Formats: sequence, C-alpha cells, structure tokens
Amino acid sequence: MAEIARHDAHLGAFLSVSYPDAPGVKGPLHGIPYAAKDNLCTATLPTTCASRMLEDYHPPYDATVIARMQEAGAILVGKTNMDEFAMGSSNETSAFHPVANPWRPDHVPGGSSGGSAAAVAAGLVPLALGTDTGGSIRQPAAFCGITGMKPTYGAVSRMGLVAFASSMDQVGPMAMTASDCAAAMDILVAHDPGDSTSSDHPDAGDFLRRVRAAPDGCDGLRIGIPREYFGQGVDPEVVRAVRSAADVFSELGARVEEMSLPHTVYALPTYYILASAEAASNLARFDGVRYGRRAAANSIEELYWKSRGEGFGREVQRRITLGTFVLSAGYYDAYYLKAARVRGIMAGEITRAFAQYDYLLTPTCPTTAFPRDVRTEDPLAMYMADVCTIPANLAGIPAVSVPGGLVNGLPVGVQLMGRRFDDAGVLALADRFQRATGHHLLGPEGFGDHRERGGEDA
Amino acid sequence: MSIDADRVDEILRLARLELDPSERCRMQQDLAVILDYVSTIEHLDTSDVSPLHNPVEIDENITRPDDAHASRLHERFLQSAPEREGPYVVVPRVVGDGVSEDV
Repeated sequence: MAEIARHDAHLGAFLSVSYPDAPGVKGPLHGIPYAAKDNLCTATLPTTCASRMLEDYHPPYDATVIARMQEAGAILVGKTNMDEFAMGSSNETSAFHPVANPWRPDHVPGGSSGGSAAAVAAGLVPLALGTDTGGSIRQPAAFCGITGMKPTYGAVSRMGLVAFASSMDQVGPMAMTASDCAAAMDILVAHDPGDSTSSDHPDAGDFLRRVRAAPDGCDGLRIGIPREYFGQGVDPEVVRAVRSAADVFSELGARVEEMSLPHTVYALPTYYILASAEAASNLARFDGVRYGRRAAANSIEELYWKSRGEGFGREVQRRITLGTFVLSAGYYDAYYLKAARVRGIMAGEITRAFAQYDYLLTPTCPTTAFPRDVRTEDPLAMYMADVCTIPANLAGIPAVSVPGGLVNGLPVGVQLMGRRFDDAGVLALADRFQRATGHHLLGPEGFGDHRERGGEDA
Repeated sequence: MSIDADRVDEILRLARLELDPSERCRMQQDLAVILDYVSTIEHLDTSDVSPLHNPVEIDENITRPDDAHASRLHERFLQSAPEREGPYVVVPRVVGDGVSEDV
C-alpha cells in the first residue's frame, strides 16, 4: 500500500484503493494483493468504468471473478484506471485522468486495461485483472513490458463485468510471468451458471500444474507465423523482435514457419462494426433511471437524451453512434450482417490453420508505446493499435502477450495464439520462452526492486 | 462514404444522445471517415458463409426456472437509484403533461 501511495500520484493507475484486513481465507492465492480493472463490479469499492456516467456507482454485488479471487485468499487493493467503458487503446479516454507508462511517463500505457498494466509494471501489485474485447489486456501488457493473457472466450465468467461487446469480452490475468498468469487462471476459470456463455469444457483447468509439467524444449511443436501481421504500419524493430522470438522457439526444437491468413486485413473493420453494434445495444441500459448519472430533465425522453449526452465521453458516443448506424434499417445487411459473415470466414480460416499449426506467433502491436496526445484526434490511427490482437477476439481463441525485449528503451510485445481451450498450452509456451530469454525480468527505472532496471535493447 | 446531417440527427435520435451543434458536426465527419474505412469489407464475397455472431455454439437458450424469490439485494439496488421514494425509483412523469413526442 505504501508503494501505491508513493508512486500512483505520478502514474494514475488507480481510481480507488482499499486498505483491507489480512484475508480470513487460506486459499491458493493466500495474502496475494491484486488490483482489478474498474469495469469489474465490486461491492466494497466503486465501479466507474472510468466514466462520468458511473462516477458514483457502488455495485450491489461482486463480479464472479472478484468473489473467486476472494475465496482463493487474494486481497483486492484497488480498482484500476482504464479507457472509458474499455473503449480505447491508450487509456486516454478515461474521464478522470490519463495513466503514465512506467517506462516513459509521457508515453501511453496502452489500453484499455492501461491502469492494470502500469500497476503491475511498476511493481505496485504482482497481479491485476484486465478485460480484453479487442486486445485490451494484451496491448497494454505489451506497452508496459508484462505478461497478459486473454483466455478462450467462455473460459472465464463475465457475470459482473460491465458489458462492452458481449460476443468478445473476456476477463484475464496480467502479471510479470506466464506462470503467475497460470496461477491466476486456476482461480478465474470455472463454469458459472450466471453467465450463459460460460463453458464447462474439460480442458479448462489445472493451468499452473500443466505449465510446470511442460518440458523445457518445444520438440514436435509447429508454430506458424502469419505474414499478414507484418504489413504496413508495423515498426521494423518490432518485426525484428518477433523474428528473434521465432529463432528462440526454433532453437528450442519447434518447427517454425511462415504461413498466410489472407483475411487478417479485414479483422479491424469487421471488429469495429460488430463491437460497436454490440456496444450500442449494451450501453442502452445507461439511461439515468435506475443507477448512474441522471441529468436534470422535465420529461423521461429528455432525461435519457441529456443523461447520455452528458455522461458518455466522445469515444463512447462515437462507438454508440457507429453501432446504432450499422444496426439501423437500410444498413443492417450491408454492415452488421456482412461483418458477421466476414467474422465467419476469418474464424474458419483460423480454425483451419490450427489443423497444421499448434500455435501462431505474431507481434502484439505494430509499434511500441506511443507518446500521449498524438492519436487522440484521429480515431482510425488509434484503432490501428489493435490490428494484431483483434483476430483472437473474433475467433474466441486464447492469446497471450509476453515481453520480447526492448526497442529504443521501450518494451515490445510478442503474441502467441492457440486453439480454443488450449489456454494451458499457450501459457506453457509463453513460460518456455520466458525461461529461455529472461525478457520478462526487465523493469522500468525508479520503481521498487522487483526486477532488473532498464536493460539493453533487443 | 458521405453521411448527411439529417441522417446523423436520425441516428443520434435513435441512440438517445444529445450533442451540441459542434459535437454533432464533428460526429458527422468522424462517422464518414470510419464508415469509409469499414466499408473495405464490402467487396468480399460472403454469399455462401453463415454469419458468426458468437464463437460459442449455443444450441438452445440457457434459462433458469421462472421462480419468484426474495432478493437480499433489493435495498442495495434501490440505493443506486438517482431518486427514490420508498421501494420505487422516481422518474419524471411519463403520462400527461411533460411527455415528449413519442419517438
């Protein structure tokens, strides 16, 4: 708590903190402090989604993942800053304040789980929960030099997560290492009758043991590198870091080869149509009636209009407007339904790739962290930050971002994707990479003493 | 693709969003740029592909028994309401005077 108090005035990673008692429960995560993104409902702390709309909102109950962490003995120390309603890639759409990247304070930490990523990178907590709809765990993990896991869609309960795009949202762990993520996955992954998409798949469990039991080498594993992830806009230094990760896996005995997923280029437009449509529908509940911000109004219609006009920030309004447009009469077939069909093509293409390859290796993001304020006026430039992470959300597959070294003093993220419900395999592969490279041991200057400071470029 | 101001107003009306004129103008420009970009999927042949709405195959709706039971959280939900009167959430009147044109 002292570290949070000392550093967070500069970082801005937390929106609320608690001073909890020692846990009464002795579980697998006994006494481990953790932070949760502020779109996960907590009965003891406010849940704002970094929005004026929910500025004073105190949920009546804990999200299933929060309750499970508590049962495991983990201690919730605070709620983390984020892009408003998880819409953004830089944490700059937070209605309250931006988050500094611990590696370089005038750079963004990524988003939307930017507060969770910065808090872990700065050593304020060893573990944080994030949520990932189009890359919101993996992209900030990459920008902040930590490990972030988006589980298979359906593996982790979304009960008590404020919904953004329900067919893609997943909760997942962000930590220093893949094995720490695996320990958290052991708690997070469970069937929940409170979430109708929650799975009871038999492979979804026993993560830490399976990661530890995995051999050091990668003999027999086939890893594909889809060339479409290295197109226009990808920093050559990021390409170099991913190539060097590929060499590491080759040396460990994997068969690594280039392959093609030709429809990857359509992932971003498909995502923005579908996610915005789902958001427009999900965010209809914020109407100023039962909870959240209520504007002064003389009629119920005026109350809806004004509360939503005042309560939502610009990016959220933009997505609601786009989503309403693509669902409106005359445009539904051309946009929404078309995009859902393209999603079908892409998911099929990825499933077929996994007949030939066990895992896919790509950059997590085309660039390293960018300076604050440079992309806020150009929504498309901001959206490009998610171009490598979105396909995993469209297909519902597990994906992890691991540190791949430094470029010009900033961390690069390397992404590994696997088959649906092979979350343990994805984490085991990430763990092998970390045992072989040690990139994850590098930390930013000036925070705690949990990692090596600074370091050489990749 | 260009999108005219009337269309933007209609969408904002459907979305129940009140924006001031300068924000509305900006929204019109942003929407045009974004729609131009997302329209790149237009030329793809999707005639023999089924739409994928969710990666989980849901064969049937998952429902719970429709049984009435007392909620322990009733009072806490009411505490979240911007305005309440006893066990009710208060809103501006919806019938008679004060109701706007039906939209």
